[in-house]
Amino acid sequence: MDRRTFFKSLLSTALVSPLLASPKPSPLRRDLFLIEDSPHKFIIPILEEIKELGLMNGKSFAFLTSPAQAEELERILNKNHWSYVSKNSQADIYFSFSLLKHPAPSSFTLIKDGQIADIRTQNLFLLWQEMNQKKNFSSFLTIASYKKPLPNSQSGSSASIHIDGKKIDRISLKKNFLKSYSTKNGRLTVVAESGKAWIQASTCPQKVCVSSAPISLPGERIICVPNRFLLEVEGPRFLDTIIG
Amino acid sequence: MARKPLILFSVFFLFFISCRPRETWQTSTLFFFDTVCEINILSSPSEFEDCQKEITRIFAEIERCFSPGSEDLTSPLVQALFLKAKKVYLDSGGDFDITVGSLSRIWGFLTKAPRLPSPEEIKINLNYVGTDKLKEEKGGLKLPLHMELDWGGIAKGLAVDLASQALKKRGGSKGFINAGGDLYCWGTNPENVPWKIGIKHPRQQGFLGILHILNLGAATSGDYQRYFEREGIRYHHIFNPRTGYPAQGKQSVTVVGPEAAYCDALSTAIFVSLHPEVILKKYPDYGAIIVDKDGKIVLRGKRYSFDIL
Repeated sequence: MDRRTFFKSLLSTALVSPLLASPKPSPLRRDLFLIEDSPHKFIIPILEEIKELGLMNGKSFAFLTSPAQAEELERILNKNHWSYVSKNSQADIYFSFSLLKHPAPSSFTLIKDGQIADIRTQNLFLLWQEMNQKKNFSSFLTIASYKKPLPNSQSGSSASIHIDGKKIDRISLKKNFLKSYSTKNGRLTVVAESGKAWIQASTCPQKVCVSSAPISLPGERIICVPNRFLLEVEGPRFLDTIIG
Repeated sequence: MARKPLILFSVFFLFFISCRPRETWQTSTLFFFDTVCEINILSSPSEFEDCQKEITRIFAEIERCFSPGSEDLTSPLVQALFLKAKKVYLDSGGDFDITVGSLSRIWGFLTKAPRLPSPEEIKINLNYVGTDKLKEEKGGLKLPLHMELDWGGIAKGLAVDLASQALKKRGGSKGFINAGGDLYCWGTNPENVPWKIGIKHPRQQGFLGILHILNLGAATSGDYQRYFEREGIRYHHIFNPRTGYPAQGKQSVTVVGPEAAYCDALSTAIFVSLHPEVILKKYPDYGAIIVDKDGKIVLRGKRYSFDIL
């Protein structure tokens, strides 16, 4: 089956994936469409390939709808060390199912950012051929929705030091560094080593800052309230601010 | 002939526009509520100066009204916040309670000298807990003998709500205020997309995930924020008002919704609650990101855009 017929088959069905119907589709959304009456026979190699290609992380799944085929699917996924979670919790992949109005040859495709992504790599091409050569048409559609893993946040290369809300210094995280800073209420020692920065010593009473874990990601900060001191990693921010 | 005034008008209009002070992103860091407050807004430099003054005024006023022991129970601000606190108290079946002040004190969290109180001490002090024991009189609240208030679970949220309203009024067309984890953001971020808010991981360095939100508040309650350990057991600052001991079963709760004050109170209520969904049913515009005791992430209530890292 070529791509066009694949989409014709898809268009003849009412797409039921609640994720697809969400008002603001996230740019990180990916959907795998699988036309096949026995999805459990083919799903594992396809998911493995997607993981292999670095298009997905994690191994938890949830069902948004649960037709009879979901049971078999759950069994095979469990067997391959995927873990089932309820649909209300955060799963790495969500399955929903639908019936095609007109049966079509078995096939699969991946939609990313609203466009078709060909995942018929060497491994999957044989599988796809096998599916496509089956005599019986299928009318069962499995939609697997997942999110693209976020790029690994890059460590920052420098950190800024603020006292009383004013920036007073900028240090490199690439070089070994040790320096003491005087504040109105005391003194602190800042250390940087192999991409991380932390506070080694402080004259403040509680030493919350000294027991804070080293920081390395842009936007991460260590605060010493008594000294009104702020140490923050600089760099291309993938975040605007941090809570928690 | 009719065109001339129009051209003249356009020239003046363009001149007028170009003379307006340019709006740029302004940031500032203030120290209040025992934490650092981050402000980032789009405004002109002169407006920003005005904004900073106003925030300092509001935050100082909140500190004055709600610091432990120094509450002026007749002030309109206290009475207004009490109504919100009482609403969450009732809606959560008592899981959120501002009268845990005496518990915070005997556990040493008020004086920052944490200690393990004896079971008898806790039992006695449980008599002084219960918002229903407060007397509401005409001139203000009346605190029965030995009862103490702890506004820590809601006052910062109110401060952020009041400050963000004031900034919007003073020309800050977009921005956020983050008072040590109590946040409100409005408009879009500098890249003209929703604000990207990282939520700290309760156990690891780095983040649990990223919220993409605008015109919303958010707040987190966690067992990692203020705690001490004795013989391998973690004792943190969020008490179950019924037992007098730190609430069990969760590592952190982040609540997102229209008002930071309610996010703040609800995150505490849900942290304590065994049935978060029952509470959230009463707050249809609020959603929670819960990390349970095993580190599993569970979403409850309204869904907001949240990417898990």
